[in-house]
Amino acid sequence: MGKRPMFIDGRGVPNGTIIETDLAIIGAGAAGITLARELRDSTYSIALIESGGLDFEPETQALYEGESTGVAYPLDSARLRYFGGSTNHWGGWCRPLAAVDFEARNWLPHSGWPITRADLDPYYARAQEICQLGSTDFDDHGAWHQQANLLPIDLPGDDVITRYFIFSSPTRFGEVYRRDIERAANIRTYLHSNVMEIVPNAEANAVDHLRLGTLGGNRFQIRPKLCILATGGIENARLLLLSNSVQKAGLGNGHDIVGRYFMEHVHVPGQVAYIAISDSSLIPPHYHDATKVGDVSMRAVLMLSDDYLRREKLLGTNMALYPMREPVTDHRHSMDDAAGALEPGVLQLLRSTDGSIGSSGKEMIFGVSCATEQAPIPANRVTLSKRTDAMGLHETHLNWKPIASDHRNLSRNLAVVARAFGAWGKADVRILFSRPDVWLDAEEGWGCHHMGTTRMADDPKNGVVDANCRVHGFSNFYVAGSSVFATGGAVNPTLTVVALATRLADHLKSRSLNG
Amino acid sequence: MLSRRNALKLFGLGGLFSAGLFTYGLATPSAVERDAALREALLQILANRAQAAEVGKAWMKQYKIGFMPAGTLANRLARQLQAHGWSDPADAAQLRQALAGAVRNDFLHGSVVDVRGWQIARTHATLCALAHLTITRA
Repeated sequence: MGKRPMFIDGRGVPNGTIIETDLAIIGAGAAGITLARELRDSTYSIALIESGGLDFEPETQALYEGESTGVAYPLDSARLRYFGGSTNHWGGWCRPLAAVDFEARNWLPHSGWPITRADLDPYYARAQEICQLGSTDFDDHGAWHQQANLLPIDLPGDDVITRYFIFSSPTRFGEVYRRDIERAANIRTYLHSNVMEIVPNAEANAVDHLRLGTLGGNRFQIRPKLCILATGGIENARLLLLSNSVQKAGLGNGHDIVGRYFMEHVHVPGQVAYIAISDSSLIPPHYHDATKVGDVSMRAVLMLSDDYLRREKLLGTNMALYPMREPVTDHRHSMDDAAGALEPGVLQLLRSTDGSIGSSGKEMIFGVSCATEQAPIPANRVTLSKRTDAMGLHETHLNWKPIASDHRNLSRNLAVVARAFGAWGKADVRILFSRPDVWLDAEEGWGCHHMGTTRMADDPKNGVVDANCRVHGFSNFYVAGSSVFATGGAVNPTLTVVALATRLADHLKSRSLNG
Repeated sequence: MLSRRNALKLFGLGGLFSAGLFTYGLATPSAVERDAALREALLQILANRAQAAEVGKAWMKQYKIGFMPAGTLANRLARQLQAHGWSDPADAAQLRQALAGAVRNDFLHGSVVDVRGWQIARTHATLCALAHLTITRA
């Protein structure tokens, strides 16, 4: 193969050019870069297609603008549209989904993946390396004790458990893996190249070509033998819906599922609860913030055990604790609200069982912040807006709102945490939600985690892609990223996105180009 | 701490404490005295009764709990704590241990009240209500 540039600016591709390739990967974010990197030096010729350039550009980012109903959602700032995608601003929180997250839960309509946690385990190990975590001790108390003498809080019972997030640096995929992509002889990366439509053959059972354009008006085509859509949890659905010249409802949308079941991790801004504790040292520093253990950065959080979630028919929540302030000591001099005025009395109760006469000087109010799983419901969905962007394409319309059952779920999870702390005898918990079953505006928050819009299911009636991430009804078309999640669990999605991408890469290595 | 005089009152009434036979309604001076001594025995564990009373007042208001004689509440609480090993009203350490056991038992079995968001063991809430009723009465 002669020396040709590996990064090609689409703005310089002559109008009307047709490019042949074995594999087209649309989107150079966590999933797309992982796939390209896993398949570098394979027998495939690969076109990696990115809407943006190597750095942030406002004109390209503006292509993410859209409308939202329900929660006022920041569609343009919740993700990034240039090489590396949203890994250019992610926080690096990593943890695998739990076994229960993959299960069909009879109390949760539309739950159940066609794969299990065990299926993904080997790929999580690879994803850990790609995300540069340096450890897989997500659940292993003994490992942290051995390495750094860190111990979990010994809350009574088995319902509330300590689990560990391990932090990526965070890996900026576009920076860290750019050289791997550049050096790969079989990869051409097309920058400033927007896929405007994925055009299938007349039978609509295979991708025929991709129609591309630049903001400056260039138009060209890529003709792949295999195609992977990896543009993120919202844009994947948008592009499928925009690809409607043959299938009027959009590609893979014969059962009106594309765009539906959008899920987020509801993050209540600020705190969801306070913990009044008799001795702040009882919640050790590795719960407060990211903690260095050798080269690894980790943090302990509280979660609910799989057995508890199954028994109580609930969805998961992860809760981070941090020391917030010293307690108010005199109710006559408190406080911002009526519940706060009870704080000195609650501390009296803690002292009543530990024998303290007055403040020990160690008492502390901890804040609890959380991310919680959301039920997949069809009405939370991505559709096309009537408005169009600078490419002349319909913008995204997102309708998303947490529902009452999500609120009840979180409230019950907080209540069981309160019971665990209470039974521990060293802390009491104040839950800050004010009304049951209603999300107040101030309680609506999100993690910029976009999941579920091209969900995975064995039956085409229930999902857009199959267990191998192949679009139902298509021989050569795949989707990568968090849009394939059938349910979202209670942890950040990037590690799972990367694990699924490595799994898809293995699948592609094992299949022939012709199906 | 419970005074020796009050402790003796409790012990001196025919061993009723250890027999668990406190009842309200024995309208004799000694019963009234005994109730007062029992309240003192229970509330000795709170360094600042007024602060705990705020919790009790809020609980009674929030749950619309009407007036209740402090003696009734004290007897109810005493029976609970006896079940967790409280037998010597002068022994604050024993009382703390029994209270801790009762509170733990409440949390483990979901016997929890929500007072303006605070998740409090029912036994603790009862102790706070006793503080409130005692202070109000005083």
